[in-house]
Amino acid sequence: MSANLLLAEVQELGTAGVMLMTICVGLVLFLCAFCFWRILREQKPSEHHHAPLDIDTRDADS
Amino acid sequence: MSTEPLELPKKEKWGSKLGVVLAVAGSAVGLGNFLRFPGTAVNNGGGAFMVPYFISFLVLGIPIAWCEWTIGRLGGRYGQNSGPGILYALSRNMLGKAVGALTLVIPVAVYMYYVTLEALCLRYSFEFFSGGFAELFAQAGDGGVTQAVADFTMDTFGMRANGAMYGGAMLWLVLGCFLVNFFIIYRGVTKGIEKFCLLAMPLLIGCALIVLVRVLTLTNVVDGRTINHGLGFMWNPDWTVLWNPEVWLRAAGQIFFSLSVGFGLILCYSSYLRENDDVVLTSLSASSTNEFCEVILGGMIVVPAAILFLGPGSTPDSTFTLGFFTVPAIMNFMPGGAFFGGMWFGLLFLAAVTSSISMLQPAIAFLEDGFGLRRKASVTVLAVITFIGAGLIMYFSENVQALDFTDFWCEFMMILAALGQVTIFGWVLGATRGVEETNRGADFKLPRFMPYVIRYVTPAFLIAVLIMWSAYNGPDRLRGMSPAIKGAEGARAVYAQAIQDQFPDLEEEEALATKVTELLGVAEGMPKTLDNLPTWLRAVDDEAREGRALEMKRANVARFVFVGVLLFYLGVFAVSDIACRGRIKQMLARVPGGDPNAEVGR
Repeated sequence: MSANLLLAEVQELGTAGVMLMTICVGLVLFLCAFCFWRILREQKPSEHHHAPLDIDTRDADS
Repeated sequence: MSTEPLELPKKEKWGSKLGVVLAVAGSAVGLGNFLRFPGTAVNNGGGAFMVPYFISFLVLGIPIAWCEWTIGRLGGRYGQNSGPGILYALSRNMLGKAVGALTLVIPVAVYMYYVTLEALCLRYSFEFFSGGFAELFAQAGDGGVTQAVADFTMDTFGMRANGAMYGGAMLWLVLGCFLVNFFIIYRGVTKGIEKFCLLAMPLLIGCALIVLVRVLTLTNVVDGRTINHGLGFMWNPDWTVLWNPEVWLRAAGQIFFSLSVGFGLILCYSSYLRENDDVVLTSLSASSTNEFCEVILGGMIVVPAAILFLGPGSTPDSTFTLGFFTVPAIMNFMPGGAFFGGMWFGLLFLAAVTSSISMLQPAIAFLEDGFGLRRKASVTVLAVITFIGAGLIMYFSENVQALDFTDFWCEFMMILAALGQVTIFGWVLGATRGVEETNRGADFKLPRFMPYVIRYVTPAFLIAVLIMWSAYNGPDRLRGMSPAIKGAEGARAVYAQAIQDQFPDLEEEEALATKVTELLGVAEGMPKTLDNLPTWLRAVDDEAREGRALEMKRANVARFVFVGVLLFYLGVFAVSDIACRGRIKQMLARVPGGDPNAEVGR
């Protein structure tokens, strides 16, 4: 398969290629924009809950 | 067991959400995004490859990443930051210990060869900026550029003979990379890793965007080809490949190795999160950053430029060949190539450093958690171990054989480790409880069907990947470790060349193979006696013996790597078992809910 592809005639970017590229790039950009928008937007400071698994590392003792 | 009070190390936490996203993205973004992805995609259907690729991303990559993030954060609540400690804390069984040891061995073993590639990127960046490559290309002339680059790479990376890398500047560059990596690690998670990634990731993405703009605005016409032809070669789909299972395997493999899932890196990094830090969004953000670098930057730079300047046949599937043989040649023809080439390899160097430091942190955390070592001591111990390993890989540099085989076994272990982690998440911890844990503090919750995906679909997909991967790669690799088989192949290749010289009409590979079998009298391997061979064929007997000896030596190196990786794993397993039975168990006993004898999961 690889050899066939390598020997294939090099064609210009076709309609299907443009569509696939646009969809893939669009999907990735949308996902990135969505995630970073959620991360970078101003977050309300969360309340401090005392976790049941809070670990006493005794570092403060030293 | 010692009854003395434990002196626990101070537990660091990430300074910001963006910091942890960029650190994890930095660990995932590496040479695979910029070089492996385009090579794999273009040789497996171009645009059509993106169909299995994105399906693998959804079914394999994202769920495993969420599992690892959740397991890591949960392990952090038990005071554990290393794979063995985290997985032992959550499973309390042999599976946890075995998978935990894998999550230590893989990153350390990968680091041992990755650091040499990091040094090579640095060398190439320097050669471009300093004009070294410009001089080399000028001497070679346009027609000899590809060969000149190939010779330079083979000499620099010691590919012609074992031990050759020790004589050149590479040794010092590798040492320099060691110093940089360990300095960052020594500074710690917040002051070292996070601070570095907050600077390095935007810088490398910025550099890649500049190179991308340069490539997309190229107006050159070479033998009738424009950059549009390059983009067409990369993105025009060949839908027939969708029926080929190998393409699906390669897509799954690309996602798997690119996102660094199964490595143990995410496990370690996420253990430095706070209890209610969001893992759903953070994981998705790191994965999407990785995809940005892979699909948009990786997919539009190297292959389109290679097709434009060098034509079809210049985009091999091999990451190393594409990256270090083809790209420098492309840059020679590109306007402003010295600058953009230096920038390209500079960004690859940064990407390699962000990945390298993430490979070291799990072992540092293990030495600190498991044996109570201070940062200085743990850094020193790990530096010695990795330096010995890297030294061996650098020594056996002929045909990058040691690197290649180490990479192979690490990939195999990564699939096993991911399968183990998903099993622990879905079946030991319990998928429903696991997803509840994932949703803790999340900006948005996982869909209700996710426990079923994690419990059934992802493991089934992983098992399929493991079976197919082993079936496609295993036989060749196992043959590669047999001196008898490889020796016979080496000698046979010499005879085949002599036969082809004698019968120049035999151009077809199949016809030549038939003739070789006919003259040698055996279907495979070598004849036991040379008496029946024609005189002209017997004349190359000495050469055939040399070929046989060379291939046998290579097979022995492959065996050496296998035994080395196996012993390394067994050693790490033994050491982590000691740590789990000792200090880690004591630590768990002091954590509320961490009773080592309590039942886990549901």
